[in-house]
Amino acid sequence: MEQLPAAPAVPVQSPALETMSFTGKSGEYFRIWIVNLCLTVITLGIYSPWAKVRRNKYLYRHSHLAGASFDYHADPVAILKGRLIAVSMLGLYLVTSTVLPAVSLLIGLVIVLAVPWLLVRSRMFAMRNTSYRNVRFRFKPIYREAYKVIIGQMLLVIITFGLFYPRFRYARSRLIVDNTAYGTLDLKLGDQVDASEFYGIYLAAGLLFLAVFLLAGVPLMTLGSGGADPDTGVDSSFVWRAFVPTAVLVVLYLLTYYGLEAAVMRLILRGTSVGDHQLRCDWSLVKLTWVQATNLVAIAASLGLLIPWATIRLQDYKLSKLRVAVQGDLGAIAAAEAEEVSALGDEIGDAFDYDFGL
Amino acid sequence: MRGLLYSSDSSARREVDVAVLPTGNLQVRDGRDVQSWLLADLTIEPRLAGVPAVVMLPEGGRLEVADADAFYAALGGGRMRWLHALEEHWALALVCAAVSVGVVFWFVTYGIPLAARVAAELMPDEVHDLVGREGLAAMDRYLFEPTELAIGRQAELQLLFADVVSVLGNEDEYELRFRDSDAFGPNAFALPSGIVVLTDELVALADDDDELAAVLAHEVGHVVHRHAMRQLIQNSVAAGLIVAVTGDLGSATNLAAGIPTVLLNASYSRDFEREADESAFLYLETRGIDTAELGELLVRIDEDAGRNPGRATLLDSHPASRERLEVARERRP
Repeated sequence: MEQLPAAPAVPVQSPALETMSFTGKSGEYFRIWIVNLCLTVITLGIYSPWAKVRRNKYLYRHSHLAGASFDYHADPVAILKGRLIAVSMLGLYLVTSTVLPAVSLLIGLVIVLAVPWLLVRSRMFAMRNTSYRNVRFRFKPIYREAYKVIIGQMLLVIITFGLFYPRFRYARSRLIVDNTAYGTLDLKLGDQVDASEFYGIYLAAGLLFLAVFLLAGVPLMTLGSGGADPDTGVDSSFVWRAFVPTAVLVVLYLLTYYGLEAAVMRLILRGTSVGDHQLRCDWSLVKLTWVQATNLVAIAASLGLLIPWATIRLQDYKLSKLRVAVQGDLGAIAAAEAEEVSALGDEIGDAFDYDFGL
Repeated sequence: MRGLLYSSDSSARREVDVAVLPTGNLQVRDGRDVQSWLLADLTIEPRLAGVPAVVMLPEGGRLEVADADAFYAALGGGRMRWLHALEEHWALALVCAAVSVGVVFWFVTYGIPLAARVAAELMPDEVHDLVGREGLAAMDRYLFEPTELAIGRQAELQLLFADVVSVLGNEDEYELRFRDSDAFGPNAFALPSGIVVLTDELVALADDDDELAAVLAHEVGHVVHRHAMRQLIQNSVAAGLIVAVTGDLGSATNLAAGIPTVLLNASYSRDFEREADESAFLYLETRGIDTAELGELLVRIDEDAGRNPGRATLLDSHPASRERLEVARERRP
């Protein structure tokens, strides 16, 4: 086992480092994915919540920590109900946006105002239906704070033309982590994690994007600026000029996006503790960006058939570099009182593709 | 069978011996401590590849049996065993892949257009009128200027339009409007309510009225087949379908999902253009006009767009004009 850094002041005994692991196999998962996709297709989408539960059960149960696995418990019928509401709202929005733009503006506003509520509901649903060692996770119904952080800070982001965004991201992450619990243990984002680290990540990503763009992108674009082909009269440099900058920008943007998201996630995971148990995250940002970028290429080139392979590959890397410094006994954590949460928020969030990530 | 019994109120667990009894009971033994449940009172989770069998106990406890083979065999397969059987075999997985692709392909090629056609037919006239009026009002605000055509010229073209409608039209109402638009350039299009809009630029570009008659017949063809409304419905359904399918897949694939949507919409609109071209040919043949008139004006619009590349042209999603000119020439008697 690796040498531990200097121990904090209080510890009674040195923690045991447990590495997470993932045992899912891409062939096995592909078959589950395709069979459930097929059932979804021939039932015109009705089966899709059952497919989602089935896939998640596979992924969760193959995720291990200290000899025990996670599990996913969502009720497909609850997901189906939420999804029907989400789809009809989306349909209403699409139809009105073409027929009555004024009404669709109103619907859009309602949706924006509902975002904090949806965030809380979707976290509650997701956490309630996740378990480890038969103890459920929880998210607290903190609607008031959610509105304060999401709407209030979002306004500040708009007023400052986005300069406030890393701070908003920090506040949202803290809101989510600090209000999550595993049984009776509260999750906590350490006080050492603050907004300045989020600013650091966004600044680094921005500078990296600019540097690569200037060093590699610009010379690429000035290539092939010849005139029209004398034989055909076709000016191929026009295609070149139109295509290459777009392609370079898209690739650069994607790489920066993956790298930035990985850096933010790593920062949050490293700062998170569950009770006395501290998370450790050893992701390499370069490796994780590479895995995600090549996943995207593989998915696009295989017309989606490699989605299961990509999912397994990503999950495998993420979990293999995630450790928990366990303080004491993982088998003595009490469960909390149970409460039911409907799938409404979760699925509406899905349909409008709002990023409820950390 | 060895199993792990998880407590209902904490993360504690202990190793136990598990047996399925012929009496229809599940027995769990830990040394001298024996517990037993009726199988009917338990939630035995469907089998899933590569993981232990999972049983949820009535009081909230959980039992995991590592030897899933033996456990499900003792139960005679368990609930939804067909699903696991399907997921076990590569041959069945490939059949599923083929069925999925086939059904999606059928639905996208025939299902959605068919549903859109039926829906557009069943839709009350008020909806068509509302969509057409709102659409034109929006374009008047942002894209159009009032026409600068002389009143006499407008009257001539209205007569021409009336002639086209008399050949192609059904019981619906048709209306021709003139607009000046630098943004659109030479163009014509049909709105769901039966309004056909012709730009001054297109009137100027046409060599003679036969060419304009061909274009008007093409647009009336769009109205007769309710293309605008069908397009609206098809694109909305296609977008909704893509969201429904990819909603589960995660945000990394959303980028890839945008591409088929665009291709799908372009392919739908190409089919509509061909259908409208057929209407135009029908009119031209009825009046004994050379069918190539339609193709020649289209090629000229293309050339104009080539000279003004910044201009948005409605022909972007049309079949290649050259190809349509060929079709038009082949239609000559």
